[in-house]
Amino acid sequence: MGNSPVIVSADLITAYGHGLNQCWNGFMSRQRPFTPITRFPTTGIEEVVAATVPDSSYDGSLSLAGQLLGKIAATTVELPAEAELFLATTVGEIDLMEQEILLHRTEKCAPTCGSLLARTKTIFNKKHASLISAACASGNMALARAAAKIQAGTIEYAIVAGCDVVSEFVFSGFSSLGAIDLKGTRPYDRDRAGLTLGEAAGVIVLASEDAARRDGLPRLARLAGWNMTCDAVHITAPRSDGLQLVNAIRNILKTSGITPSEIGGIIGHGTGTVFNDSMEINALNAVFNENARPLFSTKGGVGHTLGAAGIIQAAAAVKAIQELLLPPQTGLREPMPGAEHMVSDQAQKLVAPRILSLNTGFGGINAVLLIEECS
Amino acid sequence: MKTISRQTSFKLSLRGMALVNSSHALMMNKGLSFESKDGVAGIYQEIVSSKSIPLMRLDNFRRAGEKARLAMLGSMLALADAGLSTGGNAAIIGWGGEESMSENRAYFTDYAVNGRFLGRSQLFVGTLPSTPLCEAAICLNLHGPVYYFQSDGGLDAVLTEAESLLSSQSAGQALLLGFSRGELLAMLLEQSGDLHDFSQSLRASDMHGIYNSLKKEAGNCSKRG
Repeated sequence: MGNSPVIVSADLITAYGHGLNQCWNGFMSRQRPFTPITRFPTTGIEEVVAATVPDSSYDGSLSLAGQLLGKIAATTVELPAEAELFLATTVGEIDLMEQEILLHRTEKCAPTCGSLLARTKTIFNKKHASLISAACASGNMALARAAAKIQAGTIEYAIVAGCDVVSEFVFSGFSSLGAIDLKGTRPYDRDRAGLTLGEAAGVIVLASEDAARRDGLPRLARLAGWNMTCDAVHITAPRSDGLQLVNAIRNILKTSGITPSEIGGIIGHGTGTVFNDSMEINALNAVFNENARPLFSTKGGVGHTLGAAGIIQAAAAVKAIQELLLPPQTGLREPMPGAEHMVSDQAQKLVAPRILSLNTGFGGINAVLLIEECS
Repeated sequence: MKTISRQTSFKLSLRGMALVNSSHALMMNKGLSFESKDGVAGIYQEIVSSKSIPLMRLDNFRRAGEKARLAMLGSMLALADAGLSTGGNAAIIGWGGEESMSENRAYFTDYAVNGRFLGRSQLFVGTLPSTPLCEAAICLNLHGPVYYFQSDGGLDAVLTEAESLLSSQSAGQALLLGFSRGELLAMLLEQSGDLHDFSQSLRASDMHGIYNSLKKEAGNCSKRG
């Protein structure tokens, strides 16, 4: 398979704790690790929950994202020095900018994604790194760009890290848009009322098939395809019929030479907002029609982790392919119209060891990955 | 240990280019320039009045923030400079290292001074590094990949990224939008079979310098051709 990109390692820190297994077991349990936000005031709202990482807190000097990435780097598999580092984030070290403004500091902090990029290079001991920021599709976009470089033979290894945190900046912003469900998100539910913010750090290590075999690394799954499109319709709302998401999925199926019936399951973006979930279900019905596939959103458990979302989904896809299962949908009470044959409050069997992972973001950015079993 | 060498030649051709700031806009191939004392909105009006290029509908222009306005106008001019009215599946890659820090500060300062009660959504939507890029995609109906990119290096790093993206067939063209100190450089690039030397332009340290250098190189190429 030569330069075909394969996943050789996946690690996560989420509200469920540290480790992919910890996160997977959380999904399987349908427990929602949401807790009331206490790290900043949520003025005017009695109580609102978020999926924060246990034992993480605002620190005057080290950003929350820096703390999480530092913890996860300590457990990342050792790799050749030339492995390229990619970082997916939407706001990076935004808590440092909050402190600058709230404490009236005269010293201005650096742009917050770039400063996290610099910190990530230090954490992973790399001289070179790239930042990919594509709103809530940053994770899948970074994985796609890393995979493309491996497939082209430009690089052999890529460390793709994703991280964003629950901050007052993002919370107040999403609140202003009326996008937050105060009681906890219910993706793909008939009565869904918005998202729950989450925080996470995740690392996926990609390698060319040849390099993984040569260096004796486990080939956990293959990143077999990717495609990115833009709705180009509205800066916050997705195109309601999901046409450009449909195009991205169909492009992947076409270039990979597989039919919709060969897809085993889907890990959707599933934020729990009325418009996102509706658009996704419209898109999936357009592609799969009567061959509805099992569908699952990680955000019912770990919340919406923004730039880390795609990394969490790719890691969950690895586990789903190993177990041939998609977890029960956390938070689901009654499926929304059109999703009745896709989502379930019970674990669903994968019809094939092949998963589509969907990310969509502000501005109509769509990024889709195809992850499958290594033959 | 692998060393990272600075790439100076790329399999890319520059189809169109525009430079926009708050007082003027320039187009490389067409040799047009527009000036106004009324900021980016004034320049847009100048362009509309001149009827010198086919206009695209910039529906969101009036409600957009300054960076998004630059992105919309610069993208329109770069496409027009290449003789195009739409970019179809062109990718948009933002770069320059500024991200959206001024927009982030504007949003959060407004939120803080108003009692940390509720943010202003109009300001919040401009706080992502990808927002101006998406605003450009929306007004020009571009459907390719959109993302903000940052790496070690300046123009060389983003040209390397564009070359890699185009060679992977992820988009037919790449619109590079570089922001620096209130100035936007918009470059429309296509994959090329031949290597093009960008070494002179890589030495320039600001968007204006890159524009002038690339324009000169393009002029030399056309004289040679």
